[in-house]
Amino acid sequence: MIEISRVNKFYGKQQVLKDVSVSFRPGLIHGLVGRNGSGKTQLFKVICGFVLPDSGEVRVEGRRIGRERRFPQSMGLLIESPGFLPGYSGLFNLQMLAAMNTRLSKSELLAILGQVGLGEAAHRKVGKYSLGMRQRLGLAQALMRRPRLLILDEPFNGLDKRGVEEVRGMLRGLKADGVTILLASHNPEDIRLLCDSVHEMDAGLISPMAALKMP
Amino acid sequence: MRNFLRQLQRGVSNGGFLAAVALTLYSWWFVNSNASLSLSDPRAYFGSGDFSYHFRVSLELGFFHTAIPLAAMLPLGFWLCEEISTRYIDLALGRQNLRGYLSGRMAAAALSGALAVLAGSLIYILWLLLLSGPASTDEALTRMLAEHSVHGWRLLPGYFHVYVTESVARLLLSAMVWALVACGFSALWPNKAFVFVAVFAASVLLDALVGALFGQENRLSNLQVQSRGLEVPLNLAFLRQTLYLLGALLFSAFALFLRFGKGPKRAWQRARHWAAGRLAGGRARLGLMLPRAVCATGLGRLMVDLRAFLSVKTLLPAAIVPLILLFSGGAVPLRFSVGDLWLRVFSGLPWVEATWADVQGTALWAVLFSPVLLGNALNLSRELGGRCLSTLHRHPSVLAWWRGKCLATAAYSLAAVGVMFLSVLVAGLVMGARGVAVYRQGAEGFVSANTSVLWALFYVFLFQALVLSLMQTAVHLLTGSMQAGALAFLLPMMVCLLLYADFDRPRNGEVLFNWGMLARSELFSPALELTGEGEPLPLAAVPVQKALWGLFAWAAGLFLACTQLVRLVRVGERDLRA
Repeated sequence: MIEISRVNKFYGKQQVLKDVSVSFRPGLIHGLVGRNGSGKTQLFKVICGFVLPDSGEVRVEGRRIGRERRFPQSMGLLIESPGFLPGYSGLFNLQMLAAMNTRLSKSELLAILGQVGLGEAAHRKVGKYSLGMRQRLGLAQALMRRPRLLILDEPFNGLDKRGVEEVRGMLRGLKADGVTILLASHNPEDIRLLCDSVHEMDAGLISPMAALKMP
Repeated sequence: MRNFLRQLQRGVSNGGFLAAVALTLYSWWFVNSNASLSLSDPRAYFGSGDFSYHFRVSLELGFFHTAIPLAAMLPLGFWLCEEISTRYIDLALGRQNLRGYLSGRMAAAALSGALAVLAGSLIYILWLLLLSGPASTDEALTRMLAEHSVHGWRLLPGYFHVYVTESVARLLLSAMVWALVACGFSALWPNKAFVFVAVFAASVLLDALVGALFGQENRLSNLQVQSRGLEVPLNLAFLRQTLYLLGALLFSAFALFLRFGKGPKRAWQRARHWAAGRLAGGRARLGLMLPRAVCATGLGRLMVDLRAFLSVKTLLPAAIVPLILLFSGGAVPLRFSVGDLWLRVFSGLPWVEATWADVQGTALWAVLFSPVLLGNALNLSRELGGRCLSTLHRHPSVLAWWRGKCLATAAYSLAAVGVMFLSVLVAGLVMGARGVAVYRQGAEGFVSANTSVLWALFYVFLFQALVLSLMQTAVHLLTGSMQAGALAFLLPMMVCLLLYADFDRPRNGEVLFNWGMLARSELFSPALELTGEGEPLPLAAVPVQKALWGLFAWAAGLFLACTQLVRLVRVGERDLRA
């Protein structure tokens, strides 16, 4: 369970989150929509503990983020463009990230790379990856810890049609395993097909959406 | 034309331009740094001499040798790095042809570098005009000065404005040269840290090379500010500076051709394809090689940081730069040991009864440290940039995350210094060095093999690198700017050396440890002269033991402070786009 109550965040005079209160039930996919600069990424960063709110609190699994825990305990994260070491292979990058907080073998990491469609490119340098391949690697690093909470900000960016279908299938599978997923996307179809609840952000304010209108 | 004007506007309206103006201003001010009166009572200080006196002294004893290359590249020297990393170049090239795109930006980069130097110079000239005393009435002295100088009538009262204009114009020409060189280096490797270090190193090495091959008077630093005894007539100086400008233009054009030309691009792709085919298998087999038990522990996280920091890319310059300095330092004696070569490269500035600051020696000393500076800049920009988004939350706290980076920076400094010593060792063995130890006279007067000197040399050099690295790390973290971090590495060392280079011996001793003056220490320069009372006069008053302890205490203190500094910064709130 993620509970956000009365969160405000200012950067100078600009208020990017305005009295945001919302809760996300576990084991579901929650969508977040809104225009560019509406505060979606900032809200995600507050939930994952990267940004500390000026007032209000965020609780993940009952623990207050930034106080009782700095970051949520079991979390996978894909926000903006995660930086990788371009001179090393995708597998090596994953091995380095995995060694920080998990004990995964090389074969397990290769299986995750296969899941996101990078099986054949596992040994290729990240510097040679296309935008879509980097996005897939970003997904792989978010998924490899088998997290209970997955925060995905525009995960379908740069993916081809087949890649989008594969990732959608993967997210449905994770939901079935009980993973809570927060998903921001500008594509209404992703939100309509995947999400159990949808919230809209506009100029730092959050409000629930009853249904999404398809264009 | 509109493209050029837009770029010029971009060049003069950014933080880099302001930093360049400040650096130029500091270069003019540099000679007054030793006098506290210049700040506490500037009216009395500057009123004690006329404008021409203060102008000439500030120019001749300024910091321009180092400052002009740095100041020139700050406004727009990194445009190609920025436009490639943000992919803005794709948008720009879709709207205009390559030639127009490159020529407009190159011209704007050169001109904005020159304008920054001009603005800094004009502010100082205005300052002097407001505060300096009335013109000297000693006409005979002025006339004598004019007759004995290559500047001639331009130094006479009533004509001095011509000398001022000419001097500033020379600085501007040099600034344009280094701005163009920065564009060239950006094309070779669009990485800000590399360009920053490469331009600085090129300015020092080019001076050393031209000085050795074509005479000291033809060095660009001498043409921009003429040293006494090395003056070149005005028309010749401008002609030679124009040749430098032409050379810089050719270099940058060639570098841009290598980046954008179709032929070189195809050849480069083929070479990379060939290398990838041979390296891929080896890389795949090697892996991270971290024991499973260590993963997900503090040690595991540290090992990952170390692996990320100690890459070939960051350690390669450490192997190359000492060799360049070793071979550019003149002939090697017939019989030598590896220790002799280490002392030659790493023992700092030799003692000179200097009346002037040893600018070239100081700059070469800074070049020796440049691999460490470059490696730190690359590592920190990556870790504080986009990679933070995938590593930060894998640590128990931000403090633990940052402590790992500080430890890795310290380990990188150690590794880089190790590689530097190792590369000279390998070069020495290849050149036929006889053993490692150096021969030194002991207390009893006998000459014997000595290795303790070399250990002391290694430790002092290592701790200096460590202290500078930690200062760079702290400033990089606080400002989020790679350039500010690099300046925090370079400036304290250079200013310290330049300020203390002309210290007399007793005052030299007051400095706990003065950077880069290892060669002046009691260890490497045994006391040979005697004072009036028959006491040995130390050639330098740098006590090595004290210096080592001082450096150790400073490094430890800085490290502890650096690990805590992250509490002041909200790393996760920064713009972390890769």
